[in-house]
Amino acid sequence: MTINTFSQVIMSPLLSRLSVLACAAALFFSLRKKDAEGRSGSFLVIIAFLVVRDTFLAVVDLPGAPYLTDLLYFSLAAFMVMAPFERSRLMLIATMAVNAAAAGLYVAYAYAGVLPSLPAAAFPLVPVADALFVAASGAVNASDRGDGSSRLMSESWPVVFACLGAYAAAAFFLGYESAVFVRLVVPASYAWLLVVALIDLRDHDAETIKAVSYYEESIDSLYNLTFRVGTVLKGSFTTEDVLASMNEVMIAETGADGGTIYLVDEFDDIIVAKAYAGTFPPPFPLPESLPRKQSRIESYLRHAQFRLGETVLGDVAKTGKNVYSPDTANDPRFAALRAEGANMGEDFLRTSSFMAVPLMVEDKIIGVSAVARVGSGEQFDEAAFDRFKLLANFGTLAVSNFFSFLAANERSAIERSAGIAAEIQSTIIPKKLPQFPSLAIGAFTSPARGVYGDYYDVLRTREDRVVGVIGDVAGKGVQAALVMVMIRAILHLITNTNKDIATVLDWVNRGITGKIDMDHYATLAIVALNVATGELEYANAAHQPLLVYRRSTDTIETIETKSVPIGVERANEYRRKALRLYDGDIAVLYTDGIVEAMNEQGKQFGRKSLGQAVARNRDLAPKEIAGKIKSELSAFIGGARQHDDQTILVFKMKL
Amino acid sequence: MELKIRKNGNNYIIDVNGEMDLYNSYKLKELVMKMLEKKVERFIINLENVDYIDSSGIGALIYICSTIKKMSLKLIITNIHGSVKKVIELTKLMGYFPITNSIEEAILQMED
Amino acid sequence: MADKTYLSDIKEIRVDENSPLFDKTGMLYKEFPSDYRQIRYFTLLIVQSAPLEIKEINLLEQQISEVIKNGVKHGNRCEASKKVRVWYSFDSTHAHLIVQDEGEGFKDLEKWNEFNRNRLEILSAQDFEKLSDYVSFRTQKSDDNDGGNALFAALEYWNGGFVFNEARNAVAMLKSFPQKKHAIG
Repeated sequence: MTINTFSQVIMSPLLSRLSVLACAAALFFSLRKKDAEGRSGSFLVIIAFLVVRDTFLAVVDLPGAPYLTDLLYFSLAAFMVMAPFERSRLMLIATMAVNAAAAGLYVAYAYAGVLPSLPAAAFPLVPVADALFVAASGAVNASDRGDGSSRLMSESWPVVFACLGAYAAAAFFLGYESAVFVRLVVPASYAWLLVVALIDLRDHDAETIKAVSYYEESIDSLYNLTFRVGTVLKGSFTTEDVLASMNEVMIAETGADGGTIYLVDEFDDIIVAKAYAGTFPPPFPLPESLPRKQSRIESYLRHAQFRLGETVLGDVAKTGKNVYSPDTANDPRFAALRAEGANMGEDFLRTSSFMAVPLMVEDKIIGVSAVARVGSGEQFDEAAFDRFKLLANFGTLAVSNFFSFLAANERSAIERSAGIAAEIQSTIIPKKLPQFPSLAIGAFTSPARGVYGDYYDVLRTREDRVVGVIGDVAGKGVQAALVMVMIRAILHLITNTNKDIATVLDWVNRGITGKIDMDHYATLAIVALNVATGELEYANAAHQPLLVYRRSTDTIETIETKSVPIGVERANEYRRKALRLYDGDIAVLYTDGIVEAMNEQGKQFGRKSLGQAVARNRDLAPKEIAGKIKSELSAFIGGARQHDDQTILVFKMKL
Repeated sequence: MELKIRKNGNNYIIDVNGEMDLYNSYKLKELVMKMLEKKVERFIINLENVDYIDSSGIGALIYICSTIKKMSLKLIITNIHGSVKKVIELTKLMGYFPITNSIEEAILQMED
Repeated sequence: MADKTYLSDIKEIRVDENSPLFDKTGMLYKEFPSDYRQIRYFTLLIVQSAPLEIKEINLLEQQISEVIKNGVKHGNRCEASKKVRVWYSFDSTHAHLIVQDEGEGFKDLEKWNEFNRNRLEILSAQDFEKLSDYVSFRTQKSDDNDGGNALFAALEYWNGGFVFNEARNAVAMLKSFPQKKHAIG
């Protein structure tokens, strides 16, 4: 073993070999980023090995080392070429074994003098054999393009064989000492690494181009879809129009013969057909009673409904799983169709290919889209299925935006109407109650859910007459508010007359009946008070009875009449009751929500407690009495919910 | 509740609008009886705009259905939905009434 | 508090004075005069406090109106002085109702059960010819406005039980609603 000098190293073939290896290494380094399978790393290992070996051998003259390292080099190369292929497993093992055996034998032969009769020329045959193994493996697997490594090796094995073969042949024929071998053949033969790297680069590019063209096509389809659906939205649109448009796009972009879209019903667990176009053979057995005529079947399919889980479409709607049946005729899932025979009898009923996907908005399944091909037409391929899924996602987005728009519209309509109702009510609830020297009036009202359903008013009809009204309109919202407005308008008109209070109520009723729905009936109670004399008239339309507290006897009287609400029957006649209030007497009008207010134990406040509350506070002004009743009520209810509006109107005589 | 009649060939379509309840279901009965007197033979009752029906409404439909059956004439009820469909299902009369999902199918079925 | 998970045999109307469905704790209360014209109005007053999700558009309202109608028309013979008393309780998982009238009670209850049994047998045999005789339950007191089919639906709808008291002039019923409306899978 000798160590060479620096100039000897420079003069050696090392530099030419290193330059080839450097280029190859550069290429593999840049490939590492794209390489998912890690083979660039393996090639870099081989290159590193060669760099180390060549540098070492340039510096140190170790006899036998070139041959031994060659065996290792060829093993590595053979591994790279054969490893991706199942079929070459045995060949690979054989190559490795032969090389290992040759290496061992050579060491024994060269250093231990074993088997001296062995011709020295035998050994360089081993790399030649390796090269032939590479060729054999390459030839056998030439058409295997399964994964990246297989494809690469199938494409590059000729180059690898040529370079390794040349190297091995030159080593055999020219010998390791030959200048041609050492200076020309060896560096040149490293070129296989360069070529393999370039082929790999080319392969990666081809894949990128393929992906780009796929995305280009997808974007085209999406544009088509958005354009179609958008065009419909510009006109006057119904759900059916929008879905019909989407359905047509699904059919066109998948090359289907027909398609249909079903939507899940809002309130029921069923799906309903909303769009249907082309020839769509039903992917489920038809009802027996349905005549097998095309017009009948189409008509049936255009309006069909199924429960969730019923038929393949109901199943998709229930489970959210895609159905892809490229070859329906041989698909076991559609065996029922074939078994039935009836469906398959007619040409237009023969499904040859079928796909169905759920339409999802976030996590909710809102419908199903399905397309099919008939007869013996082409089948849907994976690309069509991919396209179908893509369009279903985007189509649903577009459609659901439309629905959200509708819902938001409705909501804002409801909110607008609630706002209107609240405004109306704020104008008709009295802001100030008239007061008289002989009569004081107080009130409090507390709505249960924002918008009032209770109505009350106090009208000064004449010098000495005041009319108090309290009412409860069923329902909430603008309609209820309008009923209140109507009642108030009529009252203001007629209370100026000197008709008695029962007639007033009759007129209100006649004015209202027939103009409102039964869900907006109103209960009403009216008192008319003569502030000078204390004479009180009372009429009632199904409202809570009048409560009168008598100061002189410290008792509560309940005044009631049997009656029906306003709005039920035009000809209804209301009756009145007359009485007289004396100094200190208190008359109270109130709504259901007061006496029916429940505490956490489920007990109702009740008329008796109301009476007692009035009696307890009999010395206070009506406004304060109302306030005290309000706080007693809150205390009574405690933590329970208030489920009805509470209104109370208090009159106190001070004669 | 409003009742409107239109014709499609020999088929008379009664469009019912509103609610079929204990106060107004008799109106549908009366109308059909009148039409029977006028020798109408094919009835399609369209409940597309009916979103409420109670036992009186069902009773009216039963009465109409049995009368028409007895006279060997034809009746189809269409476009039931929502709670109307639910009530008919609860009363287990889905198979008893001749029902189709749409007027289009009803007209085709009349031809059978 | 009544046990809201009490389930009854849905194939017949039962008489059970001691049913937990008659436990009125925690229930709201309203009473009405027996005015035929106001049956739907009364129903509205009751059902307006139910949460939206159990109303099923208006199915709950319709089922309640039938029971109140029976109380007003058949129990109290539409006499305005007689009252119909209603206890009710609603939340997102159940609807619980007790309706009581001042009448003599549902005397034909057993006949009704037998009629219904026959009806269900004919239905399962799919014999639509015979079914025509069993689509409407009529007594001597039935008139043209009685559909005679309300209780068939009621027994199906009130899946938590539909029971009468001994006197058969009060009926208690419960409907349970599943928690989730539409889950995937």
